[in-house]
Amino acid sequence: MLESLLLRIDELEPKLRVWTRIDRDGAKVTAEKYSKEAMQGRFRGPLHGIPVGIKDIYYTVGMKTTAGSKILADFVPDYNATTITRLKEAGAIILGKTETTEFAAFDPAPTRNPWNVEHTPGGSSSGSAAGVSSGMISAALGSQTGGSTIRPASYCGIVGFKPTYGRISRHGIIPVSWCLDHVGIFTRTVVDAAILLEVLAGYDPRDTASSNLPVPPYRNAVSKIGPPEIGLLKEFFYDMANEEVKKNLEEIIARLGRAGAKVVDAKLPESFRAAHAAQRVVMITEAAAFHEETFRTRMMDYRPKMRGMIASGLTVPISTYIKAQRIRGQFIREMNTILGQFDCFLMPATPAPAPKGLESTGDPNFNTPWSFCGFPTITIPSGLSKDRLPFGIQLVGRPFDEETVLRVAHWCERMIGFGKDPHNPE
Amino acid sequence: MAGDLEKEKILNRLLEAATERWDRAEVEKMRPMFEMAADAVWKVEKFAIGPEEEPAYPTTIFYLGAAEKEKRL
Repeated sequence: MLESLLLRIDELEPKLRVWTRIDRDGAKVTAEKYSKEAMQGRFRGPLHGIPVGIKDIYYTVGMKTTAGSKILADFVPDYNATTITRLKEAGAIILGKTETTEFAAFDPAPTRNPWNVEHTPGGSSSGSAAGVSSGMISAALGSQTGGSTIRPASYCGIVGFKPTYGRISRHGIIPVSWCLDHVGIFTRTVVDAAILLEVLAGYDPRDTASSNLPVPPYRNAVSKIGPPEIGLLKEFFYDMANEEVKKNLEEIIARLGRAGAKVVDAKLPESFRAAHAAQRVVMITEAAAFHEETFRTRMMDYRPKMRGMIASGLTVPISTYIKAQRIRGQFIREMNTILGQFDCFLMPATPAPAPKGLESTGDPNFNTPWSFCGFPTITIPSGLSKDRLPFGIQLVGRPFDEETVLRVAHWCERMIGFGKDPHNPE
Repeated sequence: MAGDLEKEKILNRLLEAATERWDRAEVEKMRPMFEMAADAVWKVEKFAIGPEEEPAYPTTIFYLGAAEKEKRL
């Protein structure tokens, strides 16, 4: 398996720029060892022998972790992120580190979209999304503070999954914003996402925001599926989406309705009006606090958007930051109340397919509210635009109820039957 | 219109604070990010919120998670 993936990487990497570094030798040694174990009937876990890509903000022992920045050009961690340890314990092979925007913020990575190399793959988890989409790997880790998992997954036509804040440890991941950072999962199917979550979820005493709620067997959740009750969020999302995205969503709603889903209009709470702005205030202020010391001496080593984000974040009044956190409290409570009537909310994952050019990673506005409140979200591919670029739908679930999110997503995935990849767009 | 004036005031406030730390020319180069920050600050500051609302903490969401689990048991 590894050999064929490496051949595919050799063929596609010069065009797509997915990786910052690949541990070919280490991966080959591990693959040979695991292959022998498998032949003897010994399996380390559900990911035995599966090569995985890791966004270059995760600490990996002995492997550079640069966060796409000059600042950390030579940084080699001396411990693994908790997620890396859990992947390894489950038998995964860490194939290498994938490209990210600088410090998982706004300055783009060199990665290109496998569906059309003139378009962005989205960000900040650009390499992880493009790597899975192009078939270089079947799973990868990214992160999400605003829209850095759901947006690139949607732009690249794959499954992107951001579980509840606190569900997966953030220990050993370079932060953007402590209150908003989530681990993100990229796979080609919802079942694979469920397997990854089962491996990664669970309490970690080294993460102060880690939840000690029990971890259910997520793989079982996707085996019991049926038509869901879905709350459709039209307000804001319909206003912002382009005509093609709206048309795709309407077709999907009709298809899901015919298959038995109950799709009902849902109304957003008052606090939604301030959610995007408050998310930005929290994000830039916390990012500024994290980088402040380095910024004093190495300001010009940051790329322009990151430099501007830190500088502006350092000038935000503390009372405004606290008000943004008060809005967050209200938003979490109000969204939870409304969501209680449904299995999930449904909306498009992005306002438009991947934009042309690599200067921007696209618009995260359909994703930031869910990073702000920390609720679990998933995107699955839902069609192709006239320019042969993927659309995705986004489902949002109740906090710590990833089972329902996965169950609904798996049912929708079956009903939609996307089944395309950049090599077989028909 | 009044909103634009308020936003402009906030932008000037942030730029002023920035020029106390960094060279004005450098701050001007970062102006687009300050404009985005000023817009966000303005929207947050004008949002009316009840006095009973406390700030969220990293673990605020846990209470909802626990309550949700209890409901389903």
